[in-house]
Amino acid sequence: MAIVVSPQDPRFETLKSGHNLRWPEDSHDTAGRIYLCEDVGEVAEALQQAVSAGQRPTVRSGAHCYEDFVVNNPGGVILDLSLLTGAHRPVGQAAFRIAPGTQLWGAYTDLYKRYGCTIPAGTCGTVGAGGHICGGGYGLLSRLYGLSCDWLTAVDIFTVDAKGKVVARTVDATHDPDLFRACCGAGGGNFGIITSYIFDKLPPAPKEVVQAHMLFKWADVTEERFVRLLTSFGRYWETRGQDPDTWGMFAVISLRHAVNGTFGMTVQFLNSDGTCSDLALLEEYLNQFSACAGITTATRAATPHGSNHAAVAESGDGSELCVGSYTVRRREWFLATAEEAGGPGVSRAKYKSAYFKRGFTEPEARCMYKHLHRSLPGVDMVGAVIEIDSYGGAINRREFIKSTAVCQRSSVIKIQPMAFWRDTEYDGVYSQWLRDFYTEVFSGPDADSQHPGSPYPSNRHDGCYINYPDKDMLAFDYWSKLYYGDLYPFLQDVKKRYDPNNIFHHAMSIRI
Amino acid sequence: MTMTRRTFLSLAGSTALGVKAGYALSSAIQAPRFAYIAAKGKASGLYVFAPRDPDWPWLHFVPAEEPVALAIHPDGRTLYVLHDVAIFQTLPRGYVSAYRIDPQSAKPVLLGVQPLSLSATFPRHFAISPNGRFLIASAQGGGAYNLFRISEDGSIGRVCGIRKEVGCGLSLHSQHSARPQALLFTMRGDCILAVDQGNDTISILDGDVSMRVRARSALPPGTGAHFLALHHASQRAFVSGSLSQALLTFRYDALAATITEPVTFVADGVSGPLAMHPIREILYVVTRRGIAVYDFQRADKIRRVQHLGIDDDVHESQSLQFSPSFDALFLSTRNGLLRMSTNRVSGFLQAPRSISSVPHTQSVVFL
Repeated sequence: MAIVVSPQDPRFETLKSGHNLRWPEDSHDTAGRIYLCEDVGEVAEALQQAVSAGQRPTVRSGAHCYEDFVVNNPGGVILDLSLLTGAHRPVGQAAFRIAPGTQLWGAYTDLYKRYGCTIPAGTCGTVGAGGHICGGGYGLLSRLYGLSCDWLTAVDIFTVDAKGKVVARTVDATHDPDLFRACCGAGGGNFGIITSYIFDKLPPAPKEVVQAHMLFKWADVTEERFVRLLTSFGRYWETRGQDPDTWGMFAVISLRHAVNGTFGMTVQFLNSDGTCSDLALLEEYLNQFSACAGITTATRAATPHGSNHAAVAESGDGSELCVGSYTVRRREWFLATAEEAGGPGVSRAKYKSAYFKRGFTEPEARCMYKHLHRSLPGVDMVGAVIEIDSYGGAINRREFIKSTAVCQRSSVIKIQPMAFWRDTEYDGVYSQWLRDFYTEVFSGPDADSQHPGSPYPSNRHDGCYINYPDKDMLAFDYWSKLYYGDLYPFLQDVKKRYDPNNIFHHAMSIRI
Repeated sequence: MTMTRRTFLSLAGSTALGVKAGYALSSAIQAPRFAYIAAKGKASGLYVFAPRDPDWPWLHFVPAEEPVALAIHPDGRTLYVLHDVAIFQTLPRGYVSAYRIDPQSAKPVLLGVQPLSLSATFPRHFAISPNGRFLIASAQGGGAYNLFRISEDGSIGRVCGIRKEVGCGLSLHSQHSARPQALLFTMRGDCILAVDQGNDTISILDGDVSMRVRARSALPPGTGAHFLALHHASQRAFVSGSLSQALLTFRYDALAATITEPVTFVADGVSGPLAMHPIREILYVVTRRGIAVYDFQRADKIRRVQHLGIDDDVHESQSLQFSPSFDALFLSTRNGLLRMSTNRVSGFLQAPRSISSVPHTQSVVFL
């Protein structure tokens, strides 16, 4: 039997939330209990118990869900798989298995030390494999090796049949192939509970990489320089960046709000043969930005890609109180220790995403500049960021359009506008800042005039990333097209067949 | 003492008053002053009439999105409306509204709105507990029951209980998943009887936030249970199956948590809602061509005593409702509202008369 954490348990207050402290929104939305499952049998048992009791189960692995999909579950049950960990090749088996609770850093470590291989990510160390892989999964090695889900051979998954019985399945390209395809990129919380990701092979871990960091001081970056920086960045990935010899390079620009004083770009480079023997290409790339006031540094100028609290000075939990004349902070022990021990940070946050098939246009760049300088009365904009990732390369191999559920296979850039803050009172303003920017950038002269305010699939844009869900997009009646492209009817059919009672659902899950 | 319909029914049910005594009491019940009609479609909204004889003057119209069911709080001050929608405020769920009824004009004034739980789409039925403290709704889209608390002022709180159903039936088209339908509180109010069209069950649920299943009985496969009527005094439940077009009856005991095996006593032709005579052991059943009247005074013999043919299109009817003074039965149809006078002694129905031509009428309640 799984470990049951009920509201009376001292751990409940901490475990009822994930890393985004906006959720649960209030006590009304809080789950009734949490099951911490330590093995697959406990997962099946807990799931069956919840279904039989008429309770809604939600599932989490790394607890990084951006939206309220897991922890807003009034009276329901959270099945926490974070203790279901490990990335290994079981004795006597040829395939690698990654358990859903494995944090990506753990997967990198296990696979590297044991087998000298990796999943093609490289970032987001505390994200759980459970959500990462089934939503597609990308990182610094993805331009070279593709998405994490592109390497999947099979998954072990519990579904719930029409009569409410939990069914264990191992699905692959020949057994329940449609369900398997859906598990390769349609996102978590849709069809069942994946308890093991199975890979017949994985790419080799590179021996070394070259990292370049470039720091930009806002004081030196005029609007014209900023436009040149972004258009140069985009043009590169749209043109030269398509060539296979560049696929080992991945660049991230972390555009922090101007109040931070600086922003940065980080590049990870290796040659397409997995070595770092020829750095001419990296130099060629960096040369583009010489006129943009960038300073090359040996140390990181931007926050690590995928940080959950990128720009917030302190984690956003706890409350201040006075002890005599001293101001101190009361915090939940687990969160305080996570911070001290290098674990995931927590804060209140909001995220958006968009795929770009082309580089940025001048109006798009100017729009970013404008909003990164926009100040809001009484609000410290330190936590406002637009992260821009190079994309494409191996991700855009056409053969994966039909074998996975990731339809965005033509993009060269992915952006992730986001904001982090501490206090509840700023929920509205930060979210609105993001909304304002997003609406404007996708309503400009280069946007699809039929679908203003969204990156509707066109010759320039290609929708959004389901692992960066944004409930704001539900305002568009075509939201499913943004996240799933033309694949949505297929996914609805899979949903009807494998989860006919819609046991697994959230605000942006596949609807039937 | 001015007797309301509720206090009267309470007396009649709990003390098993004789029929004659019951009828004597019924004459003391005040005639309704206002009637509220819910209609979907192009003219979706709430229509308020003054139910006079022979015509019903129209008083108010309040726009409302796809209202499918109405209920009035036992204190008579608040009107509740269930909205049959798939999306509310961009999320997949239906919602329920509360309207304060202006005591002078009878106009409903919006008091508040509460969404159903996530994925609880296309709600079809709801009921208010006898003490007026809870409202329970069934959502056929998401296979869920939602319980809401009702405040002193009649406003609805957020969902405080969610029960997610599972199960399926024979019909691939309409029974691929659970589809909760009609539900009613037992007279004590501590239990709810509910039927599910998707998984062919009738259940007794706890009438509290747990909504625990006290008892559950399987219906004949392919029934498609849709409507429900209870005879509190004899603890009998009647269920109409939209797929089998059959009418079934059960004995239930909420305290003992038992439901007897169903007995099918009409095998074909039943198509819609049911209504129980408030006093007599008479059941009214919408059929494909009208309304059938059944006498079930003898437990071992349920017999049809009348079938009233109705030319109007009745097969999509969603409600069959007695007037508070028990002198008429009202049938909602796609063409409006029909009124059928009932014989005080026999319970027989007289020919229908069109009361309103509000299209796609779903439900009517009286105040």
